[in-house]
Amino acid sequence: MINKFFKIRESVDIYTLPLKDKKYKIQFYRINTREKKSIEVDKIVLNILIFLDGSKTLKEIAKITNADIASIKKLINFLFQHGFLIEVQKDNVTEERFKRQISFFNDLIPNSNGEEVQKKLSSKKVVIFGVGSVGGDIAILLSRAGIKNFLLIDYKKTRKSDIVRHLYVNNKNLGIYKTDALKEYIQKINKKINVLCINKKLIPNSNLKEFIPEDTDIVINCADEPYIGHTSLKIGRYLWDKKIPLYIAGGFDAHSMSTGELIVPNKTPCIDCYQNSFRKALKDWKPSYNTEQEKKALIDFTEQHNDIENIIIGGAGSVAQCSLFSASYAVMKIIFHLIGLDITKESKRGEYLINEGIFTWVDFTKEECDICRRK
Amino acid sequence: MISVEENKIFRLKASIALVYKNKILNLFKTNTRENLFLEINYDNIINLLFDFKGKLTIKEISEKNNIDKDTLLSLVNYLNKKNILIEIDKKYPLKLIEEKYRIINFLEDFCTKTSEVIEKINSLKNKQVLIIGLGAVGSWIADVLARNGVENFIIVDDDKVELSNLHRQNLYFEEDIGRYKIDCVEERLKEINDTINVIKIYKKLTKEFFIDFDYECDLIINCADYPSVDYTTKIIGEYGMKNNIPHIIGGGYNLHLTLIGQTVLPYKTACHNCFDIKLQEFNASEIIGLKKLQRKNRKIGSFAPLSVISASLSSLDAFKILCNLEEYIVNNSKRIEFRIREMDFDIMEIPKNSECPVCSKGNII
Repeated sequence: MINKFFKIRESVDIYTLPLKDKKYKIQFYRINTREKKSIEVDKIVLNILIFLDGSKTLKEIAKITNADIASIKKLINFLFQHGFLIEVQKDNVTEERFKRQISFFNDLIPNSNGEEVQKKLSSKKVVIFGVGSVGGDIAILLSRAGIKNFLLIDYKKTRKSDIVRHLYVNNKNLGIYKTDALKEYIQKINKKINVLCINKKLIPNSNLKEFIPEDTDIVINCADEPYIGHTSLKIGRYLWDKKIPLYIAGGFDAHSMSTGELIVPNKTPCIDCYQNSFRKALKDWKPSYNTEQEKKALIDFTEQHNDIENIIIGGAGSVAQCSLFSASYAVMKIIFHLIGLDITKESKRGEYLINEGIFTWVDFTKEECDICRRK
Repeated sequence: MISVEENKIFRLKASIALVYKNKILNLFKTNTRENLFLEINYDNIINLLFDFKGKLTIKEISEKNNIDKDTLLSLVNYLNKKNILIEIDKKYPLKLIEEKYRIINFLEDFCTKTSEVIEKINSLKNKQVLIIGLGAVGSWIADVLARNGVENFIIVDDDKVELSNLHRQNLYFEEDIGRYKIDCVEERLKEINDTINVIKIYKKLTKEFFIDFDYECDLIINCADYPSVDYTTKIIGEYGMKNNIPHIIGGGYNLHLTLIGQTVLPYKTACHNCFDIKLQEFNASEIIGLKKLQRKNRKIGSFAPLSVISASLSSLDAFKILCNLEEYIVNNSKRIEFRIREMDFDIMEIPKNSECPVCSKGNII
């Protein structure tokens, strides 16, 4: 041990307070999670802490600070036990591109090795159904985070009106398949990313075998045609048996800033649990909408225009920041899941209230369901 | 007056979910997720409201349904104020609908007339936004605002793109490494909309920055953290207060990774100094006498989804400010922290301090 390099995790602040008899109170404070731990020590420990920055071996630190090896070892064990310390591998060159993210992983998961976490994340294979504004933002964020294998599914082509919310669409890539436009975009972020595209629409009798490879690590559903609930039910039931996790993203009609939800086979409620609890909650709520429109009364035009026939004026509205919010929340949960971090709110869905600045939460854990036999 | 009122044309928004049961009409705004409940003793209420398709006048609808005109008028006015019915005083231009109907639909929830929606779209176009720092937060905000329809940007950054930026910063690609960030941003924004004007300032934010700064701006967004967020916040706060310009202190990076930065409307909401006073009180009570141990070689972790949550919420307040919808902003007068373990917000109210030397004395406008 004495010839190894160690450093205090970057996210740990250390505060000191002199006490009587040359003792010091030391408070360790994790800045990302706001957790604290206090101990009382001699002055010599303060000096050791200052030198624990990964540049010197314990032996060297002992020499500089005049500390005995046994008490250094004791301190090191304490710091390890509480996850304040990390060993620095001198021969393991951190990938330059991800060093700040690796540092974040080191902070986030006590006693982990951020480089290993990054490696694990990079090896994952992701399938995305629907690469509109939310699906596209998710793909971009995952690409930046280091995911290298994507399968993108969408039958639509990029249009001028997509520019408003799709971060990968601009005036130079209009009129091509969305999957191809997104592929080009994420390969500019990282040319080592592998992308397969399927330009087909998911329909009720689609064979999901043709869409989802067996070695997929997670499927992300952003296909909201005809309705996100329908596509999720089909995909969710298929994946439950295949033991592949599903993330149902938010960001759609009436859920423009929703967190979405993660479904992990044999762990979380299944897709039927979710849908049954909605059905129950909404059983007396059968809304109607004023969607029939005569476009000429509302829009200033003279000639016939087919393009605007499907547009509902005064209908679902959203701006790019809404989809980006839903996407970033989803990506956080997806990455945490892929690196094996347990997260709370696993079976909850949050809806961010645009004019109040808070979430309201719906809880799904209490459902009993025959399909996944949860109790 | 009545004769003019009754000739007005209204439309019930398609995004409103209507349920009528036990004499209670529930109106749920699906875009903003707000609920309205009205006690109404009229069984045909939904069909009546469905007659508001933007074609018939109030008078025509009252005749068609055989309802008292004045009663209908007062209902219409009430639902109009509550953003359920929108007055059609102007038809939308075709091009606007083709390219921006999602934004129009979003704005309709904040407007009582269609002309107001068009005004707000124009307001986005005409205003000038100053963004300082185009890194993990600023680069996302610039992209999103350009897609909202903002056409005038002043961007400030003296950094060049590095490989280690790519995991969290938007708009930059591998091929950009070594180029000035703001050159890349200008290029990308013009690809979104070629009528966008970009003024580039290749500088860091220092105390001297505003001495020769000679541009008008309607909103300042600070995403600069060098040498520290506190340092840059003070500079922006002082300039914004002095010139009465709304400003947003972006969170989401470095030591503020989990913070949603605050929005300041000068003399209306808590200013940077109100925050300082409150946070000093708060920190003092927590760690009395404690001193931070200084350590070298520290590199704080960074994680794009956290920065982006912060960027998306800041840019939502920015959107509201640029559309003159200040009363709807939500990141003002509070410190908002995203708690990673709980995946939820932790909010501490920081009201405008009536004794604050910066914003309380005689400056009220």
